[in-house]
Amino acid sequence: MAWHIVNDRPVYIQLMEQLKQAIMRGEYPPGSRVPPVRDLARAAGVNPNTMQKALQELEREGVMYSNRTAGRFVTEDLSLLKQLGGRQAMNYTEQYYEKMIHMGYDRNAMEKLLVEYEQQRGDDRKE
Amino acid sequence: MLGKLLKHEMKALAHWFVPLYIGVGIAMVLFGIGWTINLAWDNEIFSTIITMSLLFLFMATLAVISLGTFAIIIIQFYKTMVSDEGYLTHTLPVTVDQLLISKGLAGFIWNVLAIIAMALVILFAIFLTLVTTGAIDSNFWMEFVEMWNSLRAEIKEGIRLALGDITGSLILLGVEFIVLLIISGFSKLYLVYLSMALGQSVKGHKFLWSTIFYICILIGTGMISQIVTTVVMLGYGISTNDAVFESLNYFNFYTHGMMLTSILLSAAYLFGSYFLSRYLLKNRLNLD
Amino acid sequence: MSEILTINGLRKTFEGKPALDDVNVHLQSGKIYGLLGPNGSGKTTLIKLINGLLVPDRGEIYVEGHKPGPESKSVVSYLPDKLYFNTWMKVSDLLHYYADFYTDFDIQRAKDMLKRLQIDEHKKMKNLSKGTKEKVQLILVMSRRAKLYVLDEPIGGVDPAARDYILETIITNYDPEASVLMSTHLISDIENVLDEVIFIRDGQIVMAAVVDDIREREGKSVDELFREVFRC
Repeated sequence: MAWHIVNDRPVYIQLMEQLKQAIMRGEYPPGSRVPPVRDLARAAGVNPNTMQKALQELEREGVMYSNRTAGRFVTEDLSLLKQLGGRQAMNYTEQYYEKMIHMGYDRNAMEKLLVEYEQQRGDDRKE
Repeated sequence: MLGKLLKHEMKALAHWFVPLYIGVGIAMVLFGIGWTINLAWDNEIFSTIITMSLLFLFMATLAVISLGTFAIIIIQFYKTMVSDEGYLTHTLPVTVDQLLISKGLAGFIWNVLAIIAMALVILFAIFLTLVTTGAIDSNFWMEFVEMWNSLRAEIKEGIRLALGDITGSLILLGVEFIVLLIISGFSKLYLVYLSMALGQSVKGHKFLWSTIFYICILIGTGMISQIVTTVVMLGYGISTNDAVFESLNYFNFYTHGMMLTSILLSAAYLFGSYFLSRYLLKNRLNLD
Repeated sequence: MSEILTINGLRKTFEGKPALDDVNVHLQSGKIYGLLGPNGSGKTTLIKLINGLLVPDRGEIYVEGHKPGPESKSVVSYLPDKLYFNTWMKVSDLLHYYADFYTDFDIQRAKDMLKRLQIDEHKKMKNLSKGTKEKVQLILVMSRRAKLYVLDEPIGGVDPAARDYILETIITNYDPEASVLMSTHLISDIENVLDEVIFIRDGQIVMAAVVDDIREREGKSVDELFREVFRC
């Protein structure tokens, strides 16, 4: 899993987002064991306390649960995970929308740009 | 901890001393070879050259042992206490006392070894010259021992007539002498350490300042010793040495008195330099 | 969680000028702290005082309840910003030296780290490159199971790969019973590894805060905030 942490947003929020993405991607399937805090922290290049905080928040949200003896696991609650996907998508939409509005793009301009991008992306793939 | 410090100190010093003494050993072998060649060869010019070279070699070896020992000990102290290595030394879980004592002991040990080495070198040279030039043979030894014994007997008799039995006094003198050697051996060492402790507390050019401080200390202690011994002698009301042999009391007062004075002076320098160094290294440490 | 480092009212003057004035620091166990400030702000002076290499003019320093001395030194692992070992020693000699004096030295961990970096134990220190020497020093310091790790500019002047290795080592070494205090002026590289930051300027602490709080509150990185605060 490739982590990408930026400096101007709280680390733990970014960790939570990226863990959720990994889960939705299938990298950590439902019911699978979550690696120990230290290993995740090292992989992400972040402070173990911050990683711990992110994991605890995910537990609070129900995305993960921990078993005292066995460790931490991804939830098996599939509907919750689906909701997660939906919420994350809305999250991104919110971020994108606000940014574009801020730059002066209205809905039409945004759509036009999306089509243009999709086309370009398709062309790039063909090459 | 002290034991560990001492062990590592000895190891670090040995790293430099072992090559030094190997060099000395090689020099002695060369000396032996040179001497043998000299005997075999008959050429006068060649012989002079070799003899001069051997003399130089001999002197150089002694100089290397004494100066080299001094240099190695002070450089080691400087490097580990004042220079960058000080960051390691002064953050070890040890007290300043343990550092100072381990360095003093190690320095003292190597100084004693240096003295023994120099004595061996001198004896070796003497023995070599005397044996190979045929000046020594069994006759020589017998005559020498006879002469030595009779001389000793004469001196003993002479002293007994003048002063009485001074054997006890002489033994005591011997003990005092050894005590003096040991204490002054340490005090000389700690005076050097003190000058470095002083030098490191200055902001720049630490080594230069250490040298300056050392020179001042040498001059200062020299003057103090001179003044003190003169005062003591005056105190005894002794103005010439003739009085020494006029009575046993004078003899005792003079010899033991002077010995004690020297011992006390050395002890004062030792304790003074130790405690001052300790204060400086504990409270005025100033690593760059 | 306990308080590992307590500093109250610390003051240190050099030649009449205060290098540190009324400094108060409280470090808790299990956290990684950044001591951030421009050059000459007093970072190194503070670090030397914590390690007993300088004596305060006023104020007190306690490491796990001990004033700087042999007891504190046995629980503080210090990485200065210069190389401090003699060069004739071999790496293995240095390992044994450390093991001899520090009961908390984990020699096996050090050996593993050396092996991972392919540093030959039997080589003499003087034959290693400067970068490798620095890594050896880092490995020695981080292989101690100390209560307080004090790292003075650990990533200044190293290439990015080495920097990543250093930060990774700090993360891997994480011990909830210990604290790490890192001083640096290269903030953006290490922000993500820090729990809290302490800003120091002209010998005084101007701010002490939690990294994520800064980002949440200010919406900017610690580095950006630092530049604002310390704008000349």
